[in-house]
Amino acid sequence: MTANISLPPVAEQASPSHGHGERRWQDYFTFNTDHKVIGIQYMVMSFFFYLIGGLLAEGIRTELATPDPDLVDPALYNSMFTMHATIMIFLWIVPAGTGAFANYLIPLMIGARDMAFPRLNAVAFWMLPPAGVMLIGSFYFGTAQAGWTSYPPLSLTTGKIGEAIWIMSLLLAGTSSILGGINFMTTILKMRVPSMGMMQMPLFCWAMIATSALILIATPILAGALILLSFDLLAGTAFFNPTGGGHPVLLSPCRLYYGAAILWHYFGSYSDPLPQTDFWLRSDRLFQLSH
Amino acid sequence: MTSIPNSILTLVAGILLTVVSLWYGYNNGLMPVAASVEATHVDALFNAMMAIATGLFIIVQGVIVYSAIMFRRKKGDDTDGPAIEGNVPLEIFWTAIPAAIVLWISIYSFEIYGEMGGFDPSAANDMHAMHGGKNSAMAAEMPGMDMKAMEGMTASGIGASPASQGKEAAVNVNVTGLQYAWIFNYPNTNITAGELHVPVNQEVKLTLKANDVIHALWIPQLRLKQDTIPGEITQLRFTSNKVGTYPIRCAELCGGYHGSMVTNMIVETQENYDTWVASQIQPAETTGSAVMQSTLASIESMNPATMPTHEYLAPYAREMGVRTEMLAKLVRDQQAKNHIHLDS
Repeated sequence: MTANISLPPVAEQASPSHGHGERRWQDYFTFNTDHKVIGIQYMVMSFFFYLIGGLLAEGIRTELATPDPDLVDPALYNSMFTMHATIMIFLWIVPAGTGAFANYLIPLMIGARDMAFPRLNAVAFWMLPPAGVMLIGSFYFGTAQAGWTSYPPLSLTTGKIGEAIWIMSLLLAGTSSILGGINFMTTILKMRVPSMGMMQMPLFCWAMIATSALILIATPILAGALILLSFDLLAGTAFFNPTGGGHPVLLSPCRLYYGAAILWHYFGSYSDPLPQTDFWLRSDRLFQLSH
Repeated sequence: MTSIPNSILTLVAGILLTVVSLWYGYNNGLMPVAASVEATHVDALFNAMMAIATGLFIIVQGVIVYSAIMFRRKKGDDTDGPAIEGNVPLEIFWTAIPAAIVLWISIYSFEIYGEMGGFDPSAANDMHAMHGGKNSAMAAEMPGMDMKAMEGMTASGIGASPASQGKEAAVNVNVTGLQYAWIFNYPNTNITAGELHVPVNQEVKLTLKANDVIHALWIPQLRLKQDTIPGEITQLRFTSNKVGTYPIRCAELCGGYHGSMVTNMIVETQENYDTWVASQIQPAETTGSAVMQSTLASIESMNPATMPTHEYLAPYAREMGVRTEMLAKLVRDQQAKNHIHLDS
């Protein structure tokens, strides 16, 4: 990006020793702080999990081809659609939608050398592969069977070990999105080139402000609810358990907040990048994206 | 050469769009039979929204397809497009239209919800409505429930429609959702059944509870769906106006056999309903069906003391619509639970 060279040192960030621009293939498999590397890591990883989620969907549809439970038994079937939904939401839509595009594009669009917190950025990415491995690994121990909404009391009575792994995995993925959200918000608010005001930003950056705000509001609620659910599951508390005076419906508003947030974040994300992809590919005059 | 003015073309396109949207909205045929007056109201709302959605779909897709063809990049043209600044009055105008539509839909849907009984104070968690006789009436209907826990609680759900608010329903049924069956108990006659029988054109009140996990009672033909929640009571009130057999499904994932948690609602004439009630109360006197006779014969000839439990209970289980695989699952779950309790 020739446009970046004349930038004042405001955007100076801790960068790996080999610097941006000379990327080796190994970089994509290591703890790398380059925002483009991280963006591509997010993209490739999320589509790897997308394929696994898609395979599970194939299994679900194959099972549904006949009314009898002849491919898998009902418990495994419930596990399969629970895993399918969880993988598609937490390991595909969220990382591909926010992690991949935002990390790759935001610094380019606002003229920053990298994200505000490059190491935090890499930490956020590297929390996701363990989360995914835990989720898929839980097939060995009797996976969670209560659907991606995981409403108690069903989630407290079926596939307990799997449910516990599921909660831990979602806490990791949720923390990853919170860290990402903090990073996007700070970068967009604080690291624009001095000549670029808020109203001169591309629409995508505005979409990412909205997305990050929703992530920062909703994901901690989800995480809190999941922690309470894990207490119910593992420590015998009764936040959601009616037999101890808890309220089973308490979890659903927490899930709804999160569901609304992850759906909303796509509204603005693609209205800007997709029509202009052709323009980016043929031009380096990125700042002319805004009038 | 003179051409047709743009305003005329736009007008014709607008008229066509309106006609097509209205036609599809009111002829979509997507809904099943409407078996109550409220269900036809819900359909009216659905059709109105369908007409609006059809219009929006055609406009949005039309603009996309038209623009992609008309404004595509010409060969060798690497220039920028014209930098068109916004048009504030136009933006206000096209924001006001959807705002008005959304407002109208929300008012309309609230009205329909009110007609269905959604705003009945006894179904809307209104504490004031619980003073007086209502609390005790509900308590009487819920044998086996912890009355202390129920005190001060109202049942959420769909209550009486405005015309019949404050009146008792003609038929009361206690519904229990459990893995994986619906049990219908008629408190006045003490009938317990696996299918819901109701008389046509009579108001029915279902008082719903769940024994284990969250279930949801869904009757598509009444356009009604209500969660049943462990430790809490919910209700549904409706008046079916069409004789027929309609499916009841569980609509909240409740475990491995959630998909088989299906039964029927049988709406029948008052005469047939009374016959059914009589047959349930005193089966010995109504030797109507051959099935009933054979069941009775087996009951009379057997000595419970010498029979294993499962053999003794089998005819009852059949009558309640409980299937073998459900029972097997229940037993397995219970054993698993016992193990966990012993372990911890």
